[in-house]
Amino acid sequence: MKELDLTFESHPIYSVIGQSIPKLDAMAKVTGQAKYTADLKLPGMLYAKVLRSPFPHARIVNIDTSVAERMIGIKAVICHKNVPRVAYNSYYREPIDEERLPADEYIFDEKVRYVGDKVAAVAATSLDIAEEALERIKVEYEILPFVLDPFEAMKPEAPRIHEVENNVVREVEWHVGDVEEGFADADYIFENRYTTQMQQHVPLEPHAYIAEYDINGKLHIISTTQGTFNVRVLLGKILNMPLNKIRVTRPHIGGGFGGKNDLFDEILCALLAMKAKRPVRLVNTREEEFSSTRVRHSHTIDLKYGVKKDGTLLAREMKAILNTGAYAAAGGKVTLTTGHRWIMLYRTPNVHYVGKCVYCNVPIAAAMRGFGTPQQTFATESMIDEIAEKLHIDPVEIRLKNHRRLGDFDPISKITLGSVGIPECLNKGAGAMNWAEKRKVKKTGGRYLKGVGVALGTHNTGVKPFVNELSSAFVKVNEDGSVNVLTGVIDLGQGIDTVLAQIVAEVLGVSVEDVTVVNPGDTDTTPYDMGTHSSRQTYLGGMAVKMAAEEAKSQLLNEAAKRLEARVEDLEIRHREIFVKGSRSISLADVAVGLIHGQITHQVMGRGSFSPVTNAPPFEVHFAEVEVDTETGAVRVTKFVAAHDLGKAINPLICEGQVQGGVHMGIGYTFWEGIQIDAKTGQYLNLNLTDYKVTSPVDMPPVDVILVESDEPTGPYGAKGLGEPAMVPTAPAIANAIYDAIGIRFRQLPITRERILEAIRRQKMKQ
Amino acid sequence: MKNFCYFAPQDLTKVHNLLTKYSGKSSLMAGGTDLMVLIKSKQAIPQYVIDLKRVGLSYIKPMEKGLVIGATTTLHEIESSPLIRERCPVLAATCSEMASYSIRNLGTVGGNLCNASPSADTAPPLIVLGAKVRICDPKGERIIPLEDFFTGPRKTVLRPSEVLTEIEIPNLPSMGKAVYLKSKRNDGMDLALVGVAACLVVDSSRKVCQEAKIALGAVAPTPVRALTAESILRGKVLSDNLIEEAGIKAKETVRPISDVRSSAENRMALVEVLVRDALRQIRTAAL
Repeated sequence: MKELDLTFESHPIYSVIGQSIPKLDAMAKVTGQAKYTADLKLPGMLYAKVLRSPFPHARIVNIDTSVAERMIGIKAVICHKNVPRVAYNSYYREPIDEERLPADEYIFDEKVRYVGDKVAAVAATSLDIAEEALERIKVEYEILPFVLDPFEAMKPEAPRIHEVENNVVREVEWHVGDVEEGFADADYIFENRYTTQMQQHVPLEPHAYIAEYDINGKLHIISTTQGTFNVRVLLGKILNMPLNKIRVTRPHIGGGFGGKNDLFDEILCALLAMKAKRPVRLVNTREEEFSSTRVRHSHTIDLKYGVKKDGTLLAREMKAILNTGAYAAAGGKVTLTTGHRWIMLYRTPNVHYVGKCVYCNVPIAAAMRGFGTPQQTFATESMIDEIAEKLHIDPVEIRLKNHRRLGDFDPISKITLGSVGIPECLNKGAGAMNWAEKRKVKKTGGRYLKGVGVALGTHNTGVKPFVNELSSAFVKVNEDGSVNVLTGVIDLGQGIDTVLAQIVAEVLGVSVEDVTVVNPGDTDTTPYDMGTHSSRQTYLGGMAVKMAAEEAKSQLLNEAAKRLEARVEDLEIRHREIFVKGSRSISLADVAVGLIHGQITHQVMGRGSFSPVTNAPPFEVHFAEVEVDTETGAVRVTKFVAAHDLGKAINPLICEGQVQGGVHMGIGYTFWEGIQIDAKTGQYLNLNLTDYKVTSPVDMPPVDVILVESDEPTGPYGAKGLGEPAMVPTAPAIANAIYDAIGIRFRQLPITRERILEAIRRQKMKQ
Repeated sequence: MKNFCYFAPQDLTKVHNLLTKYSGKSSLMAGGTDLMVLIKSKQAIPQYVIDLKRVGLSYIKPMEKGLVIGATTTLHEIESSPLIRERCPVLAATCSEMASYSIRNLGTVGGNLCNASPSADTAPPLIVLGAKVRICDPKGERIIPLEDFFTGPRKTVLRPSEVLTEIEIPNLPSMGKAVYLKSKRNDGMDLALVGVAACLVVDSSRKVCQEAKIALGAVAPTPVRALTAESILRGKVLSDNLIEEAGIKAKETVRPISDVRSSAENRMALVEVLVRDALRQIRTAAL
């Protein structure tokens, strides 16, 4: 094991912030004590299975469930004939989404639009019976022509997947300045096409749900969701139920990465439970995880860059086509972020972005760690490298020259950048990689060739200003001075519960052990939260609990001031003791118990609601060193440096874990991940972990994590996002390193060993 | 997954009785690491599963001029056996490169052979070592060269009443060396895109290859010998040119398929490289 290399400087005035405290639930998880949704079993619980479409595009002419319904042990069967027909978008969160997100999905439709689309569902006393019942549901399909490729889908003669023209879900276009003028003034023009693949989140824990509908008409959903309140509001809309009658909880969650944001088959589970009048559990197989949850959009990106001889960017143009799969979900929003993060990262007077999000008969693409940014970053950071090479400028230098600076104005979101740690990330990262020395090494031939590459990235902290958002919390102080925190913030395994406990402990002058962040999250008891996505929770959830803790603190200090006969502003809390600065004190427990059980009783409770006014983009630089076996194409990452401007590391250990995990996912994205689809049949070829390769432990290089603290003025203790940025620039850093090693530019992901070997063969034939 | 009836008989007679009784409806199981995957994906739907693990076929024993390995010996037992490591290091190395630790604790050598995947890792090294398999049925037994065991993907010469019980591996000649190389999509666990085993007897004083066997996995419906490549090596000095030529010959004689793991062209290119690498490694070790 490598020693932690944490180059941040801890702030002397903080007692808990900046401490590398292991995740509070780590022991429960490594010992298996922590329970996940699929571990839970309710009395009388039934087992559900979903019948899924075997065809990429078909009309259901007839569906006969009568045989299945008569089977012993079958308690409920649902299909389009016996469920409400309500259109919805699975990513819906708030009223404005009615306009922004097409409601193109139904509980069940009379048409199926991809292999894996839902057709019917059953609940039975055993899983075996449920599986057998699926085989006895007779479905007559009228097979329709299908389309897998977005360019084909946009042609007038293409099959229509939904009732929209050319299968285009959304088009986003932005102009800054005038690109044509910019190109005219440029010394050099660069144009290339880059493509990326359909990656899947592959969380260790598959999606799972339990639904229970009680005699009082209350629906309880236990779900692996990243957003309990999002599930609740959609269920309320679809089932036409008041929100107080729906309770959504979540136990421990085994990874989300954006793949658990939407409403999934919670709705099927709910309907089955209502029909059977018994609790119902549904757990996805790994195959269903791949086919029937969500995937990362595959992008085709055409770039045109105009630059001056000295490397100054004059004009940039991107035309992006996104394959969004069979339903819109969050596709339109991914189209927006794809362009926005790209425009924001570099200063350029003239920019033009067009993004089109297109339906195809393939799995639904929506949120996945980076939300469009990893795709465009592969393209654009490869492009920057191509420009740097042509102009004989060092790749680090050209980025230092063009990146946005502190105080710059982002022309699209209209925000002013309040913290920018890009130079520090580039310089410290280059130092750790020994960049200058390694770039000088001439590739002298031989079988094994080494190279180094760099890439810069950004993303977001939350969703402002494109969407209004909220995180909130209650903090209550118990009669012994210990603290419970109620929040809708969801820990997906990344460790946010520990970070929130640290923030509350810091404010209240207690230790982390004195703070319990209530788990499971529960829509009945916690205030609203928009969910854990968009790298938002340390920033938003952190600020919400900080505000709540501060309100609780002021209640404690008011009481303490009376008891100590001092002024509130002279008081401070340290180590569970309230001091009059430099003199007498009273314990926090005495104050708390006095408030709860005194003459005039009062619950010490603070409320926090945080809705940010801006966004605080994080920045990140990855450096990769690779070695390529030019005879087999086998490529290995031999060293990796990840420098992240995260504003402030509340818990450096957890931050390092986030970055390691991001690099792991980024390496998989670069080299081998991707759902393969047979062009003739529309069937998927690798829906298992044998042939959908994820990065294994032996494929992981040592990763140097550098945390750059740029002190974001709007974040709690200066913090901003980290989760998604952790994988944003990984692929282009590696692709650039491969170019440095063997002189071959890969503009298509994944860069498999086979593609490398093939490219080397072609290169040799040319010579 | 369809339910099935599970038997764990404790001797071969009972295995044979069950096989006879449930002929056509039963599957033999050793480690289960292949069978359970097939059952879960409904590619196999046996009504009866007969587990061989309690029959007493887990052993590694020296025999006169060689070794014998019981069919249900796990891959981990093989990779960690001092006897195998000393007498048959290529097999220990092969097993240690297979799947994951947890799967190697369950998966068996007999299962790997009887599952008859074209990419089965244990087959090519055992073939070049001249291994034989002992096959028993209620009336008796037969011993055949492993090379003649496979008939197609997931197909072997085993009749429904027969059980593979043992693998016999003769000792290498004193100047013999063997290696197995496998090409994968990543460095972690993966099925072989191409597997190449080579076994040479090299006269180190004259640098002459006296005997050569090369077996290739995952490039044909069964593991296959690279006979042309072998023939050009015999009796010759192991020069760089000869090794390169052997690689090219091996490539020219295979007709692999394209699938989700690799294109045929890639497999052919890898055959050439891996054969060359295997021969170089043996030369380095021998001289």
